[in-house]
Amino acid sequence: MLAGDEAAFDEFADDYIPVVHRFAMRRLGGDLELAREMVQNTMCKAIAKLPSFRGEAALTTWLCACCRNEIAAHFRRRGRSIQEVGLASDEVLAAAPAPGRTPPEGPEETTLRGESSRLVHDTLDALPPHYGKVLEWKYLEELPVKEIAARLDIGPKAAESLLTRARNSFRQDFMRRQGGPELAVLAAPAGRLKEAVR
Amino acid sequence: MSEYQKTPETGLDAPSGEEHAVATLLRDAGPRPAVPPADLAVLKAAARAEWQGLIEERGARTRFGALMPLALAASLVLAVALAWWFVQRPPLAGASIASVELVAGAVGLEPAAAAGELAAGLELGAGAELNTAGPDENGRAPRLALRLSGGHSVRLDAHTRARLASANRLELERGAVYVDSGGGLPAGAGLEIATPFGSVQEIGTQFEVRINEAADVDLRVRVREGEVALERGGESHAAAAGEELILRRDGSVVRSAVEPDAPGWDWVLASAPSVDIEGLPLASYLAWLSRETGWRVTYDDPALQASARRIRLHGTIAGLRPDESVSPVLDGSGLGYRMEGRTLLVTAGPSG
Repeated sequence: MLAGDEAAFDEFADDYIPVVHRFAMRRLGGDLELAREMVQNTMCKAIAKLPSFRGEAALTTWLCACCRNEIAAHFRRRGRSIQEVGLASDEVLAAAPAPGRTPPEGPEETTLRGESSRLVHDTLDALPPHYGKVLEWKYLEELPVKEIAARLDIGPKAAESLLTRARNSFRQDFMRRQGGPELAVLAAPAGRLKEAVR
Repeated sequence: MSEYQKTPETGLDAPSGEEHAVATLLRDAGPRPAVPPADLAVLKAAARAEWQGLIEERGARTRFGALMPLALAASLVLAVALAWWFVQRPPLAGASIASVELVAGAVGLEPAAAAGELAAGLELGAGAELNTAGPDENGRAPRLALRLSGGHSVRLDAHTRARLASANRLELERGAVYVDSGGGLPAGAGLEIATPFGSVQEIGTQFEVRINEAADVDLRVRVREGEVALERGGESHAAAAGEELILRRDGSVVRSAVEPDAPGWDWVLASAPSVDIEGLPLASYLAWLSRETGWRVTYDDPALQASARRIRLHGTIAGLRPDESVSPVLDGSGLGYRMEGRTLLVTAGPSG
């Protein structure tokens, strides 16, 4: 990208702008306009600093740290302390039922499901971009391994290996984020999840 | 345990218990929220403008030798020892016969169970199979560079499939590999590249082996430095630095010349693992640069050569190809350079 490779820039922008945007939205209570401003400032400043990025942290981590600083500076400029967006805001956003899905039964279930969704999305965002993509292709778009292999121009076994690594990374990061309960418990319906959290 | 167990009948797509849990989580969570298209367009345009400005600025710095793009600073200290970066790695322990030095893009590793995270630093054992895909939708080719326990640097081009049979034998099934022995290897440490069309035995060198480059070509061997021996059907064909051997499907062997910095080596530069230059003598960096690019490095003045051994570099060239790193490093050292054919001439002043 630093060599002026247009394709590399496109890959960078397509992979990381959505990640930083989601990060900002969660911290700004879903304020789209402010999120756009924060993300734009973040990406422009990060690109300017890219030659000094030493790769000691993952690019996602670094960009999100830049975004966090940008948001903090925004609130400082306005004479306000950084707006700590409560979990409820995130949860309500994340818990909005997808089209065709049954809404949760009550507010507590909504909160728990929203928290689980947020964790899943955070975890996907923290993975290397191609890991997140193959997991979504496989489990949300329900593409067969052969189709994923074809998209990546690799063999089915290699695609399966990639999926395995992506799943392992997802599982480890997800468990680290939510503090340790078995993955199978967290994959349970919201009612059971509530019990697990209690 | 889940009721979803992998069986021969269910094949690749059947979920295991753990996979079922991951799948359920992802499906329950639904797709990640997308950026509104209009916002995405605005954000991407702003980022592109910033990036283009950065590229232009870096180009200007290179042309005029002005501010240093990587904040490199060089200082003069006494040289205590020259330690080549590529021989500094300790021998790998246990069953490991190679480690990953660089990975980018769609790269596969089998067997998956023993693979772990395919990332720089991952140790590989005998039997590891490596696959690189073709360029992605943006035209970026995957990159993979390994360091074998014998010290060889091995890089895989796109569309390549290879198996690590042992620390001194690599089986190439398709595509192309590049091997750099790093020089100075003990006798008998030569690496063999086995292909369906013959095997190539290196004898302290840098070379590329490519399969099926064209319809009528089984195998192509290009030697950048040193010498290789190509064995096929009981016949041996030696190739020296600057030579290319083409084994045609009809059994004939064609020999021709190849320049050490020909465009065909470009993918090798793109997949070169970066060097940590922090504290490295400038002379060591230039030796690495010469090896990677095939350029000859000379000095405008003998005193400069002595200086190059004393100058210690600070900063990083991570993310830059070897040929892209010259300008920031030399500018940061207060030196300049100019290219005279394939020779990089180090000069006292800044680059013009």
